[in-house]
Amino acid sequence: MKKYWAFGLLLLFSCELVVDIDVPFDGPSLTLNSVVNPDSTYAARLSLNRYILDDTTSFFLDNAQVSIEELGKDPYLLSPAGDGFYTSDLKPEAGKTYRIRAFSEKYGSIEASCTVPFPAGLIDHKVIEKLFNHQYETKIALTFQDDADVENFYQALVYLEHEWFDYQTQKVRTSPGFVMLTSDDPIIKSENEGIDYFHGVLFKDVFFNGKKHTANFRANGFSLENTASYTIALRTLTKDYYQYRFTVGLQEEASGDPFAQPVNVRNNIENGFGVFGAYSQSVYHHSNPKPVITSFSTDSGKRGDEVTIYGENFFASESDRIWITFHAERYLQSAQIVDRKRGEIRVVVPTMAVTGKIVININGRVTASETEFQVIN
Amino acid sequence: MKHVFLALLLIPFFVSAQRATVSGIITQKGSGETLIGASVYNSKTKQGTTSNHYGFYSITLPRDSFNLTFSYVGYKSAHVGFRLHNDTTINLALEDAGMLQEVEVTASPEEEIQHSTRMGTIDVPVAQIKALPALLGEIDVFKVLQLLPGVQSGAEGSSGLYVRGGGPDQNLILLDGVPVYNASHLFGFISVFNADAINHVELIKGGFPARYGGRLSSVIDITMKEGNQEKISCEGSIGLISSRLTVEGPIVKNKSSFIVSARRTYLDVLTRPIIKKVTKGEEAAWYYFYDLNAKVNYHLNERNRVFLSTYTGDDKAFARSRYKSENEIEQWVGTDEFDLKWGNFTAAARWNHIFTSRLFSNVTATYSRYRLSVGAESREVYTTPDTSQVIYYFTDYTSGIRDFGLKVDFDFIPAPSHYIRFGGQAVAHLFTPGVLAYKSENTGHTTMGSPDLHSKEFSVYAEDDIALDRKLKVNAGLHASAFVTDNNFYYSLQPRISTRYLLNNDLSLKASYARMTQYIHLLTNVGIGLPTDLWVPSTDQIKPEESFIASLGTALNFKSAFEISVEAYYKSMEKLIEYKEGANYLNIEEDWQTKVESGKGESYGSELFIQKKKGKVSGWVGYTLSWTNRTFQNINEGKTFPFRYDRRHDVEVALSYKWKPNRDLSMTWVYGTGAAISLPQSAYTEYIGSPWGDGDQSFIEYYGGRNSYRMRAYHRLDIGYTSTKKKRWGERSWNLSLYNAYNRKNPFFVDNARDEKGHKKFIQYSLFPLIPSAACRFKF
Repeated sequence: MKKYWAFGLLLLFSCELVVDIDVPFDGPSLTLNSVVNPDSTYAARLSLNRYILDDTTSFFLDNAQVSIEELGKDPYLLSPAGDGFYTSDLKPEAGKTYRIRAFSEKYGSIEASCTVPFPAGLIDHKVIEKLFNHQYETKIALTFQDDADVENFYQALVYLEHEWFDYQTQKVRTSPGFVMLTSDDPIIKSENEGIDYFHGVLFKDVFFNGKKHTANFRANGFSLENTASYTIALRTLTKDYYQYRFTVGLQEEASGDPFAQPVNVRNNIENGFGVFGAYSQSVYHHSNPKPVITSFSTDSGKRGDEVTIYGENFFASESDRIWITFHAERYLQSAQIVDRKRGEIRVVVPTMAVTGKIVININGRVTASETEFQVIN
Repeated sequence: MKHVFLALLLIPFFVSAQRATVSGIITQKGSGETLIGASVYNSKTKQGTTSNHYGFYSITLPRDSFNLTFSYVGYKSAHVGFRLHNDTTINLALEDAGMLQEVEVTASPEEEIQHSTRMGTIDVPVAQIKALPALLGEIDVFKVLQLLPGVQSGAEGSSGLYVRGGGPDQNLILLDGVPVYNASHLFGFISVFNADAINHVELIKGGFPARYGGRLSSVIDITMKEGNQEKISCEGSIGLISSRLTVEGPIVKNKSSFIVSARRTYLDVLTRPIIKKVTKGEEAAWYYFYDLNAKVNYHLNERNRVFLSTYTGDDKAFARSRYKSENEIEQWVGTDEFDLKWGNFTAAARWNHIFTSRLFSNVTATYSRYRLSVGAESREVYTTPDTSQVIYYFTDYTSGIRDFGLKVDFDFIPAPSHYIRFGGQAVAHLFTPGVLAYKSENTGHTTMGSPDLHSKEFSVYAEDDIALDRKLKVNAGLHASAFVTDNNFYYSLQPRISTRYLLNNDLSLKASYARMTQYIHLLTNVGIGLPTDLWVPSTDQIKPEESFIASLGTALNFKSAFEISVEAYYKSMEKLIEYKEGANYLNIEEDWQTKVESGKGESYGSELFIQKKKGKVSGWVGYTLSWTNRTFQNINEGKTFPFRYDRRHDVEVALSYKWKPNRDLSMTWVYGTGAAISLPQSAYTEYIGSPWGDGDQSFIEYYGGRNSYRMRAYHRLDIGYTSTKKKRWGERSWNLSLYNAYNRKNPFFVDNARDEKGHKKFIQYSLFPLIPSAACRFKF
């Protein structure tokens, strides 16, 4: 729809004015957010809604009771973990129905239920990644078998792990990341209006119910091959959770659109707000081998000298992306590589080298030497 | 046809040997253009009649000397008097008084507002439409209709019509008797009717005569010009958005004539080469619309005349981008294309036949189609020395409606105290309610969506405008209709009555009642006449919409200069449809019938209208006090909510001042209570589900009652000035318009956002500031 507005509002000259409109607030009411899956333990978060013009961030509730029960069994009380979180060490199972309840003396009780879907049969995946004009063009194709008996709601997402050397603690650390997926497929596009990138891409099985299907995505700008590890997940979502995600996107899309009727987000919490959903996922996980530095040809040297670094996992292919620094927080360039063989790399000590650990990054995997390299002035 | 015969049998025959009939066609002198609604008045018997849509009139008089006055607003009257022996034909041409201000232009008393049984009916002279100020110089018939009491415009700048609380789908828009399904260009900002090709515009808001049916809220009856019978003439204008050209003239002098009128926007012509050059041919984008109206007519003889008229108009938008990336061994080449087009095509063939001087008939065959298509195509080719892979997607969404119709209408005027109309219509509809063709390299070609639906709609009607005595006149009629889709059959009997009672010669009381049934529905997301709006028929799940409107009013003719009317009305609408919350035309996997909610609505209020049609200062003042609301079981928790365009108070002033024959100053001022809007009441935390935890909170907004808040009042002044100059080659006029002359920040949309100090507030956004524009018009 965006395209129409772009054409239609060519004539738009906008002009702003603050106005006073009396909007009543009949809250606050309980808000519960919990999306469970068979791979993770239960977690739920409880908060209160706020008046629309109220600027304070949401108010999380720790002194309430939150319980989950499998249909026909005894309820299980989750324990408060602070910041409105309630957790337990149990996990749900695919195909079973669960009910969640939250109770607070002050704000009453709310409840919701959902059935955990079965995972999709991921058959194959393909990642094509090329560098053009210093920009990665990455394509992902997922092939899976759709279950003909049920209406399936899918979410495809890619998450990754970055490794980096923390100069303050002198340790290699990892941090998680998400890849923004898009699709050229117009059917998928129309399902994802306004949806945030870390929610992956939503799609339904209407055009391929019961068939083997290949869905194509793009992750432009990201290099998966040069990341420490990445996981491609294909999730099957409950209908409520899918609609929650979809209507959150629609609300986002309609917000600021003068012609659209505002959209209320799908809410499956009785007497309150929020979402109780579930998913199952099948994943493909890829991890690059971690290089290990065993020794240097010399423990010290002048800038411009050559030094050979010995270790393991130094050579996967010609196209490896290698980045070597000599304790160089401020270095924007890798040290120049003179030669590389299986188990050894010969580099030139850079002009801005400082005494410290040598750090090697091969295809996103980072390792630092145990000992320091002395730079002689 | 049973009803027609029944109606015929009921006609009381007043025609006796002592009487004879004068009949004929009234036209405009110099062009031969038909004058619709011209009056014929016999001062001796104080009886009269008016010409119908084809200029035909008939008046039966005693065989005696008589003195007939023929008059039409803005034209010199003509008097004809002689002794009547036999039925006589008088075809008369009236002279335009436009340039002859000193001549007193009289109108006969008969067709004055207080005498007519009609209620809620307004004629707007095309000359007045052209004289009023126009946004960006685009003369727009619908934008002038929006200036009438009881009619709301919807969003600012849009050409939508909301008549007495009804939606834009409840308007029967007829162009030469053919329904036009989507009357908007440029996403609803401009209506499709080109004022240069129009002879007559009539709006009916209530007290519907039995001859109209099929929609709940209004009839907008537009008659195209027939073309100058005497000489070739041209008319046109060059404006900021579009330019128009109209050519008309005789084919065989006084026997047949033609008119062709075209309009097109030309921004795309200017920008296309620039975009191409700037992006080195990689990007292309354009938008344009055009209209074409054409009509020919032929007088076979005194009694037979045939017409062919057609309208076609399309809006087209297109965007394309190409990209290519390559390195030593690989190459990716792709193209993305998007195109959107929508448009109407209508055609009518009609035959006027005068059976006798008292019986006039018209047979019309009509064709109308509206079509939307939204296409997207993306193709990418990946090539390496060993392989070549193509990723390809194609979608084409089409929706539309197509009608074939046949209509027969009779006007039978047995005596001055009766004016009988009867006839029937049959229409075959074909609905294409949203079909999506989809193709990709791995799914092959798939088509999804609701299947085509064939429906038939039939109607018959009979009405008589009866003068029971000098004071009491009644227009009573019945409209009966039926609708067939698949195995569903619906029918309805719709009684229509409207009466007037003369208190004195200048003042009358009026009352009317009309039931209406609408078998076809419009599914719309935003209600501003977007091309994606979808026409659908009644089915077994979706019942026909029904309404009744009752009104009570008074009409006063003040000093033969001002027509004043006050009308109170109550309208009830049932089985209205609306999309469910969050539903969208794009969710094609669900049948449209499952995406719809059904509910009811009501509207009531009172309208004051003061119109002055002639003199140096002409125009009108209108005021409406009204309430409109809707109730849907699954929208707003079943609670009644105000209609988006519910306006408590609405004031319109439209005046034009012609102090010299070639100078015209006009102004319009509108005031309306703010539109009803939905605003969020509260916000709650969104489930993010990211591995960082829910750290940075996002919020979901919760909307309480629908349309439960009001924007600020809307008011605006527009000023127009037209100066006309006679040139050697013809006539040229300059039209200058000022839109929103005192630069009022009118509310267009309200959102919650942060003000300059960073506090959360409701912020109003406005659309059009003061906009000056100019257009040059010419005529020769």
